[in-house]
Amino acid sequence: MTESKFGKILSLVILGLFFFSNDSFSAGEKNQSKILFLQFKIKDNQITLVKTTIKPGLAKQPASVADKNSLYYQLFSPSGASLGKGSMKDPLIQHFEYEDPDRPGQIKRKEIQLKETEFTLRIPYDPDLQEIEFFKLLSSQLDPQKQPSLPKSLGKIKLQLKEDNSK
Amino acid sequence: MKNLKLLWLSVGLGAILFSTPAFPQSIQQILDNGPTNKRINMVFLSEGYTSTQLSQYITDANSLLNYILSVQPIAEYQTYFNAFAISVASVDSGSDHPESDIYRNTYFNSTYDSYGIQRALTIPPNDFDPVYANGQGKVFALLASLMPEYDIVILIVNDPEYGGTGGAVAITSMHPAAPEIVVHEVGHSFGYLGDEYDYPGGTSAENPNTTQENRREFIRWRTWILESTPIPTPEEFSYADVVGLFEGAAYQASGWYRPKLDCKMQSLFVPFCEVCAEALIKSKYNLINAIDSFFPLSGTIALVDTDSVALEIVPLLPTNHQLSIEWLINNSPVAGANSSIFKVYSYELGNGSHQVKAQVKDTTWMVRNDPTNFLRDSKVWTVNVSGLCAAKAGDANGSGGTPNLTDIVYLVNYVFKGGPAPSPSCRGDANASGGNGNLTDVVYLVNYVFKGGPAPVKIGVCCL
Repeated sequence: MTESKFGKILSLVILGLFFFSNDSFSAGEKNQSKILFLQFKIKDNQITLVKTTIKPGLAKQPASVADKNSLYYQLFSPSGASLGKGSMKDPLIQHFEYEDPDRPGQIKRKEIQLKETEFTLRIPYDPDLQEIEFFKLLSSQLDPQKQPSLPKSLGKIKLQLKEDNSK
Repeated sequence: MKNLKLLWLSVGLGAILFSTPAFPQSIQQILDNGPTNKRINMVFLSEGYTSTQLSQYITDANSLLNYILSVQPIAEYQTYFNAFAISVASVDSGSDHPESDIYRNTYFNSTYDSYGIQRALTIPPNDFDPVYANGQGKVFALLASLMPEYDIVILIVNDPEYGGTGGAVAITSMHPAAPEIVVHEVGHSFGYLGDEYDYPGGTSAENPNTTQENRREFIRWRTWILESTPIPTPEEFSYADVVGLFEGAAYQASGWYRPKLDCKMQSLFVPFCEVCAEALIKSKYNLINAIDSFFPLSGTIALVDTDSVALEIVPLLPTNHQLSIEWLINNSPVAGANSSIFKVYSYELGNGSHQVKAQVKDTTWMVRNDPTNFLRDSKVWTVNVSGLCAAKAGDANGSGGTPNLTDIVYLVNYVFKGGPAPSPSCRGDANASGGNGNLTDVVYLVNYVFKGGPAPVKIGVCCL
């Protein structure tokens, strides 16, 4: 096995251990009765909160899928206890798939790197939730020649959650 | 006075202008298979439909829904889905075509020609409009408002030109061939499937259907590969129908492998391969439970004396097969108990606490590899039995049944001839006077057996 391949695998193992070892969202949390929508803005790896919305319902949480481009997050209570972890596709990387006009039936893909955008994260509502912390493997960490390391924190964001009872 | 009238007119106009949304929104359920928290909720949104075209949108949404539900393995599990159509009108019909200098005022500001690709039909943020709130932001605001329990989101653009894209929101035009990219996208968003084509443009990753592993015993989908199939599998037509390990996947022409020569995750207009179908089925059970409902709702049941209780589960019902049911008492399977209702009798359990479990499993041939038991679901009740009759009053010899002459003989033998004592003692204490039995109990039993006297009396652990 080449060193770079080993490094990649080790990176993924570390990511997996760090983010999905214990309290990641899973199908086991199917009984939440409210859904929290968090809208953020991301620019230059700085994330700011735009809007929060709480709605009744059950946010089914599929298994987290992570890769080196994922944006990871961890949720915290006022005491700093971890309430859950998860990951999502990096909102700064948009991809589009479309049928190749020159080869009917074949799919082409284009990936676009945005400088800034907004994104919405949907998670089960937890009344104890007070902060969210985002993590990301920075581009400097993606060099296969370097030792794998944990994703860097993009900072903690305080959430002021107020329930919206409108349907 | 005239000025006052004008003021009120202005206020009235203002109220009309600012209190009535410019784009009224509504949601209509177009497929109802159960509660939203127990089904996979597919949500369609209208783009480029004017207010007078919204009835056509509902027709279009139904057509697209039927198309998606016709694709295996979704077809086999279509009862697991709900579908909703969110209607919002646009000022203009259709979508932008910047290369043809055609611009339309539509609710989500959709456009063709995104990033220089004519058929890339997108909504903001994109290269024409970077403002999230003008496109995807509106989608998620509508979803939060009208269907926060969404699972699959599809935007239908009322434009006949071929176009569509995948991504956070799957987008399709009204061109008849366009929905194929939506189904491919469902493979990504719902089955966590990777792209199997080798056209560059993405980040290669291990997925249920893409891998770098080329050692047979470690291939994720090895249970689908016949021993006779060579690894790696030659890209030859003779191997078109088998699952193997075909080189070229995940945007790489070499070093990455896919399970089948062709599959919907590689090309449009072909079925999902066995491995992708398996992943899609497992994803369904990752979101919803195989046991749809159960009764009693309480997890703890108290049975006293000779009580019984009927436990019931309602499993999900795929289109052409049924889920298997098994009942277990204290983790031991009950032979022949495989219906949805299971009656539990206290005397079968005995006094004490017992676990009665209903276990449901989808035994579909389409899944061979389920190490984490996605396809299995269970419901456990704790049944506490107390006061169960341990013996029968008057049944002195413990033979069971109604007390008779043999019990009288047994008791006489004990009372007068030093024979064995009734056990437990209440068997001989026919009149419930206490003790193991004596002459009065013999008389009481004789009276009951031969003269129609009162029946033996319940005492201690003895019942009637």
